[in-house]
Amino acid sequence: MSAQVELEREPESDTDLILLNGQVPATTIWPIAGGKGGTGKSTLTANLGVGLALLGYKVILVDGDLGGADLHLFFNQISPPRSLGSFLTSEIRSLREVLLPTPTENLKLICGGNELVGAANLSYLAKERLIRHIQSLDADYVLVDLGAGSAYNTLDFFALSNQGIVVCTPEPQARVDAYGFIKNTVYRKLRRRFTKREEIKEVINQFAKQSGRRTGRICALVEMIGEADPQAGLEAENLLNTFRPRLLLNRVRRRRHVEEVHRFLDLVQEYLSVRMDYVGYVRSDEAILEACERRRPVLLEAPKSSASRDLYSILMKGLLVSDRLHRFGAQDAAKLAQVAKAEARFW
Amino acid sequence: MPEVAVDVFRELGEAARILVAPNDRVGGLVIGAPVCRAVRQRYPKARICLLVGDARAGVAGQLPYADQVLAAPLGRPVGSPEMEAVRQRLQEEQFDLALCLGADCSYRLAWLCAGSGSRLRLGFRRPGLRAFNLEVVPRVGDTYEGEQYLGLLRLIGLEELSPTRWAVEAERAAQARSRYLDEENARNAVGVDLSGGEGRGLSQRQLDELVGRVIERGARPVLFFTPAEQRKLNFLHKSHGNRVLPFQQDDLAGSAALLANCRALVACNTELLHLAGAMQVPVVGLFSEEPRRWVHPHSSWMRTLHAADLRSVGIPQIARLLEEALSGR
Repeated sequence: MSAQVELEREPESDTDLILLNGQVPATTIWPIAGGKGGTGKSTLTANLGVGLALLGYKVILVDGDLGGADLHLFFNQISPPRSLGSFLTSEIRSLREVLLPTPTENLKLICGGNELVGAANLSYLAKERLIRHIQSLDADYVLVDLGAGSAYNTLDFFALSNQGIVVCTPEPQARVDAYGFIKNTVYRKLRRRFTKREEIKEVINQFAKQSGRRTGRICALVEMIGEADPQAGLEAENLLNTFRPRLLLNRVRRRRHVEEVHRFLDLVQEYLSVRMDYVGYVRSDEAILEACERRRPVLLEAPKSSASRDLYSILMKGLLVSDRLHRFGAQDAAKLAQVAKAEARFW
Repeated sequence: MPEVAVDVFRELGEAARILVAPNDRVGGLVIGAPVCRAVRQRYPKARICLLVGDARAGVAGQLPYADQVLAAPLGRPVGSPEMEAVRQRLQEEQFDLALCLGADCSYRLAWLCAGSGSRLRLGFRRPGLRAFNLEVVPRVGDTYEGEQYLGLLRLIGLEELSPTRWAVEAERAAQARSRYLDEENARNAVGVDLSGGEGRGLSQRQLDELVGRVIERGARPVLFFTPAEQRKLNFLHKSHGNRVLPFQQDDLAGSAALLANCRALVACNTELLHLAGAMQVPVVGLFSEEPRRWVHPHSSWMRTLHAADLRSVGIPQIARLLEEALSGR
């Protein structure tokens, strides 16, 4: 058959033209954080990304753990040719140029910049530029893997979306860190919202200092803001109502661990006035460790393992992602495992 | 109750609120767009409302000739609370003139026009329904649908219909290209509409062979589908894997954005086919009824194939037409 031919369209003229505004679906950004280190944020980011791609979505994974980037290791990229480092040093102007392909066509990766000393301490301008570029990435889903801790940069990347995912393990230490992370995000969001309102910022700072001695309930802070300025009070209330982070429990070994989650969610709502959505759990599974050792996502390495089944469930029931090609519903983990097995041949 | 006598010529001259109901059969909105435009030119100050099915409301809202779009649940039966609510709404609007396009539009659409309470209702005569107070007997045979409308429009002094062209904003088309087609395939995508239109359409096997040929040609098949074609889609996805790009047509304007990046489209008689033709995308149209009824006589973008049973058509025949469409012959 013949070579390509450029189409010759007739020139546009007056009123006989109907111009359609055919929008592509908006990009959903999910920052994935956790407060504590070692909760499995990168592992889950890689696997959720692969799962979304298997469900037919175009996905970009961004390694936003600027101090300890390791997401690329799940994709067998030992020494990535391009990374965030090149973007942050302005060697590369657009974040899109840093995109690396993976064996799954609709899954792309932006590796972190480990080679850049001090990358974790981004300047304000560099951070804002990076955030702008992440927001303009073109995909159905952009998953941003964030580092541990509550550094301002991490909090600001988590604020990319109101529906970020907090990864927590059953240990009390992890729950304390997750709580602290959400609390810090709330304060950060409030401070940024009222960044030009010195009197409101002062109210927030005073409250933050005293919250150890008082009940520390954020609703009290909102009341105080409202007393200082009723309009600001409404804004603060609205900010808290629209912030709906999700909680994902990793490495679950006992049923009790899942039951404890609901107490944690109640606590967050009571003290921080933040309604968190619990999206599900991933059981502790040797298959994940083995997949990590082989530098592959468990969804492809062991698609029928309990961890993989949990991940399908999180995607389809917890995060309410439907199969774009209508091949299977939330109950059809076995069918999705078959698709994953077929996809694994390309890896 | 006897209907109040209407002074037709006075009503026509003063119509300030006009209802236009494009045919709700495939392509009705695209083929009916020139009518909206002509009505707008005839009544520049009138408030024009389009009555369409739910699924077409998004695209209808982008027609520059209408001031308002009323979406009706045309899948619901006449007399259902949902349809009654729409009829009530139409009556509240107090239209002066209602135009019901399509000699064989659904009974429901004609029923809504009849119940709109518009003082003057123009439409095609249809047995068993006294919907209009000014009726035209539809021409028999395979007259082009647009020509049929002219018969109706002559009653309000309109003598000709010039075709409209449809396009997608360049920025939106670029967005769709970036989202769905990688650079390599960006200029070599060929659309295949899996819907059967009003007939049975192509079988799974035929589609499989057609898609295989598109891939052999080095092009990327974009499979436009609705959930009704899930089985066909799964079959093709299994056979051809990532070499095909499935795209759900839940929003016609969104489909148009991707279609704008396709070098050609193969489709049975569907809305997408008519939209592609109006967007000047070369189309291979597969019809199980006489295509002259649906294809503009001067359309240079459409190659048609007519067979009572499309499942008996050989794929080489379709591939030949596709080749012609791609090479602009």
